[in-house]
Amino acid sequence: MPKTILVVDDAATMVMSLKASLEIAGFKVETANDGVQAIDKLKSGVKPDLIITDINMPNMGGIEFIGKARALPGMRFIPILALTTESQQAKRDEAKKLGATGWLLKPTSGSDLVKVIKQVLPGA
Amino acid sequence: MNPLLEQFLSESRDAIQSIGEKLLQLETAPNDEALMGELFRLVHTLKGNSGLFELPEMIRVLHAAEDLMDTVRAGEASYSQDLADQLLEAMDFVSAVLDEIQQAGTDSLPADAERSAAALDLAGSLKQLKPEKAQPETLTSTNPATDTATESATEAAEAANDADQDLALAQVPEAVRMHLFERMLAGETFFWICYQPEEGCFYKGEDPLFQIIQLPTLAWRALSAREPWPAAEALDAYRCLLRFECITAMDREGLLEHFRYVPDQVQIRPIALDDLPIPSGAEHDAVPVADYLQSAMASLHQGDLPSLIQSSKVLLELTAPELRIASAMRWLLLLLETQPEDQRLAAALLQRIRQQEDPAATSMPPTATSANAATGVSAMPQPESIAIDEHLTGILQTQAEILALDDHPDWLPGRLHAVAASLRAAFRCLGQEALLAPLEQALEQALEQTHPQPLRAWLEVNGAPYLASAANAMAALESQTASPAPDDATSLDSSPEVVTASTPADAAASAQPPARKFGRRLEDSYAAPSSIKVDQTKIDTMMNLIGEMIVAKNALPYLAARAEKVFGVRDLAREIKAQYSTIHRIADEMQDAIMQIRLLPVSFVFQRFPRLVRDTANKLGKEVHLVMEGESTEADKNVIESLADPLVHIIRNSLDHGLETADERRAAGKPPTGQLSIRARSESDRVVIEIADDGRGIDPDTIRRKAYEKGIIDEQALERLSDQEAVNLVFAAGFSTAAKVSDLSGRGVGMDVVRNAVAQVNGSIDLKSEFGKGTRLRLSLPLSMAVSNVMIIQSAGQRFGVSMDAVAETVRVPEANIQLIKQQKTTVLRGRVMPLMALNDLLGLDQPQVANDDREFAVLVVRLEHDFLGILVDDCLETVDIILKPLAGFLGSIKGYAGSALLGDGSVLLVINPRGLL
Amino acid sequence: MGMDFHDETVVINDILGVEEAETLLEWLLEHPQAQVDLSNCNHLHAANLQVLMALRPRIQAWPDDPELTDWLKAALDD
Repeated sequence: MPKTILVVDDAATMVMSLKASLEIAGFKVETANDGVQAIDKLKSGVKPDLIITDINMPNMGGIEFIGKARALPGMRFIPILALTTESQQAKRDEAKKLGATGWLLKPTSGSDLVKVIKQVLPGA
Repeated sequence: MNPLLEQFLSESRDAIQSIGEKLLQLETAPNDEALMGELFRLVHTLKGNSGLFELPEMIRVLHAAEDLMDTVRAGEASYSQDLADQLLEAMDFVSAVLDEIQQAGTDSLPADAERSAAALDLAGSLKQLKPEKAQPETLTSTNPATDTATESATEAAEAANDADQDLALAQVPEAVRMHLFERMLAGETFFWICYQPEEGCFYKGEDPLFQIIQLPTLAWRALSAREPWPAAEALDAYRCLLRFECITAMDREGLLEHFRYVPDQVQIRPIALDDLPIPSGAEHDAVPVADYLQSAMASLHQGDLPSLIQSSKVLLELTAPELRIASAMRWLLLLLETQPEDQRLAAALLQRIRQQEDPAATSMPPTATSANAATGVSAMPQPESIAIDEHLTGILQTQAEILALDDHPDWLPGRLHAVAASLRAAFRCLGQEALLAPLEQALEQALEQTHPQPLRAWLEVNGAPYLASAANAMAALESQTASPAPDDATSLDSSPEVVTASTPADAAASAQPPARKFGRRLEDSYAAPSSIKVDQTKIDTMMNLIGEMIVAKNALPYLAARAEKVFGVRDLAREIKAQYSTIHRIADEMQDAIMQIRLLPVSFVFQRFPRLVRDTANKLGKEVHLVMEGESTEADKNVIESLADPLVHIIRNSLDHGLETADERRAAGKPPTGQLSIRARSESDRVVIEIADDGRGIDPDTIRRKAYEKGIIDEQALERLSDQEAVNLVFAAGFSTAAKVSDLSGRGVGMDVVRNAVAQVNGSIDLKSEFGKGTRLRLSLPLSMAVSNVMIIQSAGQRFGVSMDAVAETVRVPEANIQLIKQQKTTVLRGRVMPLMALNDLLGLDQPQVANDDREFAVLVVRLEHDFLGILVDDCLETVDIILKPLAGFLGSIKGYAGSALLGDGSVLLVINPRGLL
Repeated sequence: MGMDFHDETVVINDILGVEEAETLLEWLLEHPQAQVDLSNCNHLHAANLQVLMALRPRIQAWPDDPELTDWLKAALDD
């Protein structure tokens, strides 16, 4: 059964790129443009096996989203990777502290992406 | 072009647009943190996206820009005009690269020296704006895992103490350790890992077992609980108490990378050769260890390995293999066998055996042990192995400092005596009586030379171990205050707990009683995405289709009429009409709905104005404050788009000709900063845009004179024209008001072009100006121009359409009321003289207009700017909704026609453009 | 995926997720004599491992995957 990944990023190009890479790797991909939309998706019955979220987003940023997502039913144990750049050390640490499982570094090539996902998602 | 690249181009352009806006907004609110954050986010996103492509120059520039924005956001640099200029320039560069990509259709652009140089240049000047000190280390590090905090923490943990590693390695089976020992001799390296996930780690999506299971090449592993499991009934499966330990051949970089998300929960220690020979097993009794140790050490001392091996083998045979002393013998034999030349490990092992099996021996001071002396290992005690009272250390330290003073007071001998007395007492206290004699000698020498050097030398040699440990302690103390890294032996042992101690609160917070999985809740609600992005052409297609449908629908009344008149079935005609009204209503609503989709806010055009105004004003050296209102006012996309050029022209005009320089304004008693306002609002089915400035206004006399000079008006008109009419002359073709054509608004394009562009979308333009006070232009445009309502008129036996927007009214004028004034037919309509023109004349049709039976002519009153003109036609018929298609080919250049449309009965209607006819 | 419960045996299939740990715990509490068959298990979340470590049911069969088995045996085999 293919694993479902929810990708949350306001940068449409990034979403498109991640989606393509993940779909090539055999994942099912759901997307959202910001935290608010992502929470709506989760509430509407989308049950991802893993979430990848950007940090800097309008409306609801990644850190807030991680906190809110964890509080939703069925989401307390889900692996969440924060999508950050090299220079966002502080954001990564904050995200980690507030419930992220780990992080991905932008730009992400398809193979890196899948490698990291396989590290945190058993059976991926 | 691949879709990703297309998406990238369009998103990047949007981002650049917004960046420009935000920068300009920051100009008025430089301390707005939200704005700054938003700006940073935009640049950050842009850079993040660029990383997906091969665009080194663009990334270089964006990286510098992001970096700069980050420091500004963090308050380390402040916003300035200069900064805004640089960033805008950077965005211009990015735009140029985007254009190149667009043209090339690929992201792999050929190398271009000019582009590279520009990128270097821009990045350089962006960097210069950044304060020096703000050079975040993280930016230069290439490996995310080797972040400094982690590294120093691990190193501190490693350096400080090996005690718990000893403990950990002691649980590793002897055979495994021996195997490791041999492999290490062969050059392999190993690390000991202890991974103690924090208690709440499951609530962060972690699976520590999955994490550890992926570690390759394990030589040994242990899995235990950090504390005893609670009673089964009280067990919380989600409070992680696991402790994973293992030995791996993976290198340090690999391990740091592997545990990069949990560096604080894992200890990574390199294994040294001497960590491995730990005798393990049960305690023994009645084994003659003391005798053995004595002879073994003697043999080692004398280098008599054969007899040491012999005696060790004998002891091994005498003892049960599971005893600790047997293990020690096996290790000793292994050491002697594998490293016959280097006996340090063997000596250390013997020392260890002595400590373990003959506790009395351990009370001997380490410096005096025969083992150390025997092996020729430096007799100097290891500094870190000596822990002394800190007060004593303080005394030694102070003496060293006194001796280091390089003054030569008269009382130096007294000082030397005092120091010697302190040292004597201190070393006596340390049990180092043997050193006291040399101390006395040093004191004598010092007194002879009246110089502290001899004493200092003595203290350096003999006090070093104590002072070193003091220095270590000091350093540790400092590092403790500087960083939370554990640094001394006691805090290290508990370090994992210390680190995790902060987490139970988190865990507790997120570990609200875990919902029973049996009663799993159904998901609450369904929420659909709030907006979708649709390709423009799809909407255009839809628009065309609904247009055609509206026209096709119009065929039904004809059909009904035919059913009744030709086939004589009245009922059917009625039914068709009933159906028609339903379809008509639906089609109307549908058209409305589709129009709504096509609506764009005027901000689509307005958003570029702040930058335009700013740049233009800067170039002209004028101070201008731009006010924009009603940016959310909506109109059809085509209308909005057609607005862009005229508005840009109007704004340039205003800045160039209208607004004065600050000095001129001051002289005129106005505030130095000029005001330019652009306001949009809806008025019933039209959008009204007003552009007003408080500049010098238009001088009607100048206009009159100019117009006359250019031959636009004759002498009579010169007298007759009202001020307002004179001002309106700026719309006349070929009129340019500025004394000299500037490079900004000149360009040979006058306001006539603006007026025509506005007229093209059935808009009108209105100019009001008060000399010395300012100018106001008012544009009125239809909300939509996709479907137009036209009136069908008849002339010379043909049908024509006229846009209802142009028609003010239709009247019937009796022939008697038409007079000829100066060859011009006129009539009086509501007390106003109105010129009349025959459509047939205008169209060049050689036929007179036909009056009706009452000798009345049908007159179409059309609005031309502020005047009304009557067009004589044969008859005015109904109005219909049509989709106006511009005439194609050479017909397109005929100004008299706005276009053509297909009618419901399949015939073609030519729609005339009254303005073009004149 | 998940678990099959038989009279006194629980068979763990493929991957046993973190959410299942409570179910496993409850079932094992109700069946103190139960055995665990891990032969079809490809992975189990650490929370499940904790349950097994705390309750120590007899492991009837170990997983095929040697890495997983080595780790489980390090905790459960004595």
